[in-house]
Amino acid sequence: MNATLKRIFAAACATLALAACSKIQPIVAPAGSSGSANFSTYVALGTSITAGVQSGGLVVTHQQKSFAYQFAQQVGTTFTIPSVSPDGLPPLLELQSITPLIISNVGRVAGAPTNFAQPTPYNNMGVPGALLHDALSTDDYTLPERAGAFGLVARGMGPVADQALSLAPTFVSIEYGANEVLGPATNGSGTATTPTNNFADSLSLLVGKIGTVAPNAKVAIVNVPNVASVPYVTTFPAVVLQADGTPVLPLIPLIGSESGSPAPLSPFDHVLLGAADSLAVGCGFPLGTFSYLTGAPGNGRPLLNSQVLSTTEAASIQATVDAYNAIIDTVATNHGAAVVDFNAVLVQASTTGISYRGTTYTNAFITGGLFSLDGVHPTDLAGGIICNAMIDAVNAKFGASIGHVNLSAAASGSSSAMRPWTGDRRVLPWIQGLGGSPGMGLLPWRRAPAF
Amino acid sequence: MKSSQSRWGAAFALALGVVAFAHEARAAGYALYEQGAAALGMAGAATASVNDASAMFFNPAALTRLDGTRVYVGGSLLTPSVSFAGTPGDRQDGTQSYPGGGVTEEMKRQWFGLPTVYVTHRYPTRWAVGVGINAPFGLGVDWKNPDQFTGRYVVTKARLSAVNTNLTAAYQINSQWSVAAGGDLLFSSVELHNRLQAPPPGGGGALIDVAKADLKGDRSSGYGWNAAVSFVPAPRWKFGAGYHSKIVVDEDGKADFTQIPTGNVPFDNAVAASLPPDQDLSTVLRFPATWTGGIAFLPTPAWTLEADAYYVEWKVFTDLPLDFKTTPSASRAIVENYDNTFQVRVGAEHRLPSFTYRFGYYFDQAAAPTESVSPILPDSDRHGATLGVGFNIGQTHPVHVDVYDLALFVKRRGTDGINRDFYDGEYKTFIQSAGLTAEWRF
Repeated sequence: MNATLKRIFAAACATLALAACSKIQPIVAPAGSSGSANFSTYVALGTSITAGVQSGGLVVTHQQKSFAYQFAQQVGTTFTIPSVSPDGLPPLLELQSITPLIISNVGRVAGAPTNFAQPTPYNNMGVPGALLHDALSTDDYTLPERAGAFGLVARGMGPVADQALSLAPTFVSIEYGANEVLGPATNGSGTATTPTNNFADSLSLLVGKIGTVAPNAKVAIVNVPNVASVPYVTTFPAVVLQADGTPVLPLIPLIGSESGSPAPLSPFDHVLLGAADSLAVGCGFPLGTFSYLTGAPGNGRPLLNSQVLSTTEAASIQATVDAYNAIIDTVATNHGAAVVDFNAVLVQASTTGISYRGTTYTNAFITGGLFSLDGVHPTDLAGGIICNAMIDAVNAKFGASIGHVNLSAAASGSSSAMRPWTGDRRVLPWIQGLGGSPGMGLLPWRRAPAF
Repeated sequence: MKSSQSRWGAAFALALGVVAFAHEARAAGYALYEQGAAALGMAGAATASVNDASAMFFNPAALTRLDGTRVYVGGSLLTPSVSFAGTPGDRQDGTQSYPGGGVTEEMKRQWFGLPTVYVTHRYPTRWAVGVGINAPFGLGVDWKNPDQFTGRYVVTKARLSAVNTNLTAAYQINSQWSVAAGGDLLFSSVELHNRLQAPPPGGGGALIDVAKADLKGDRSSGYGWNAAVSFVPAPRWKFGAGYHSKIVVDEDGKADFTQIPTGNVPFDNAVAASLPPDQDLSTVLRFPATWTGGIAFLPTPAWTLEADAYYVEWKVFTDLPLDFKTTPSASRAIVENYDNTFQVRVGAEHRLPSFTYRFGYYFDQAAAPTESVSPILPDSDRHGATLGVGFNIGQTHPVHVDVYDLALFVKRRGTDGINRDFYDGEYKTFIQSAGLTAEWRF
């Protein structure tokens, strides 16, 4: 074979070798358009869900996974938050033992605000414990159990809505109503804090003010989930269980005090997560039975009314949620706002579950993956799911084409800002810390925490 | 005589060395056709016209047309380039795709050696015999950054190695017809490494690594057979056909599970309590039957043109069962449900006074259904382009040398949002192979 042919063969082989060995390029969704909306200045008004509370506290790790923050990231706009350093305010709960069940923030240290001196209002004006009327009124900001949260976010600079509007927003999300029903529900009451007509007035007032001050701003209103489906309400059964976790048959109901005097609960009543300490020592269990948490003998003493959400109360809560959501639909229609169907997300979580990556996420406490350790607030993954529901609503209403948040980026390994725990352990199952630290009530309506 | 024995000894030493140290391979599927450099120069279109000892693979009936004794030693080097890009949007079931848009992954650069050793002898009667060692199947995946690879719950590294030994006899019925039959003894082993993931209680929805699973089979053997026919009705026409039976290998092995501490003590304790113990396992490896047929035409004495068709019965590869002996409840099967496939191969050879050159093209249909396209085996349609040359070295005892180069363009393939492991995206694969064989003729 002569030299020329050798060179030709070598060149041909090299050409084949280099022909197609480059790495695949990333596949990204087409750049989204904002449609008729403008996301250049986004502000969020709402509750702890908007703020990014998880496992009983605020910490930057999870604040940056709130649905509002993830939405801002997705539309590529600057979004300031009242950042709190680890271990959070209050220090986040953590799972310290599975058997026995110990969830506590004992041994963790309180975090601190890291950008409290920011001269401008935050873009995220979600306040833990906020009610709808708080958006435009500072009347209750300084109540002892609320001063901490409003002090952190509102900082004495006026109503949160006014602060938000001072930023000249082009897009506003509103997420209120959960606390109006969640507070009573987690305190064993079926009576919402705000009558529906007041809720309607407050919402119309708020949306109307946005329309006046920022007439070009688009609005998305997050509807209210049925809080009777959160793990805080659904985890503990109202009947005695066998050691294998199945009900004793015939059913033996726990003892409550719904009518003011000890009486068997309905098997369908909800024993709240806040009753854990009582259940652990045998309260609520009839004599001759045993606590399904610890095996302690039942002492025949009733659970407190505040530790049980009866079926009647749950139905009342549901009716209020439905009424609130009807109001939200009406107001949104009247003002051209998008409605984010958060309620549908929770319904799916509590019925079929939400599938992702072959895993079904549910509203189950601790293991469901959607609720953090306080049994009320969404996890990072759930924040992404809610954000995607918001994106769907915004895309549909304003003709935008924002891509979904990648849930694998949203999900995290811990709802508790994972950090090594060094404190002492309790020997009984208990859940401590939901009441928050003094001055910053996470659930401010609970004036007498059960623990 | 002494000189001849010396060359034989050197050839076998080289062959055994290759087999011992480089028998694992990688292709988009796990069938490998790089079994002879001259044939590969024509894209493997050699069922009818093969005229060297690689007839042991391409058509053993043609052994009757090889004079004397031939010792054929060589092999191929093969290197795949595989990358993956996650797709944005939702799967067909409405859930969001994982790992999602913008995510790319890449496989480590690997080099695999495929040995080919054949020895054939034509008796003065009508008989010819041959023995061969080659690697007709193989698989090797090894993803970069296994601790971060988004598909690590499916696989981080996998190996399938197979070395076949073959003894075949051919008989010349008359000047036109020859037939052959032989037995195959295939030695194979498999290993699979991945990460076990679980959602930590109280977690933020993510699945995190809790253990490494290392499954490794012992080398085991299975039996098969082959048959072929060669028909040369006229000097300008040649026909050939062949069949390699399926081979099933029952394999035992070990499964090791190594916990990965997460730092979440309660969770780690729960994982430790539920993690299967290290234990024995068994699996079944299935290698498909292959039908081949080819027609060669010699328009002039210097040119050979050939077209072949292959039919591979991949349906035999239904799954890879993993049966755990200590904890049978942990047993599972990696479902594949492959489909039978066709291949078309065309090639040409031009014989010049001082050397021979060849070129060819083949199309190899994907066997994996879309739902089985995974990081373990991102199968897809393949288009192969080959070049080859052959020439003699030496004067007194010339050695015939063939070399080839293969560029295998694997069609970019996506999972269409239905991957069984919920790992959706598109794979881009390119495979480069080159080989050299030497044949001593006595």
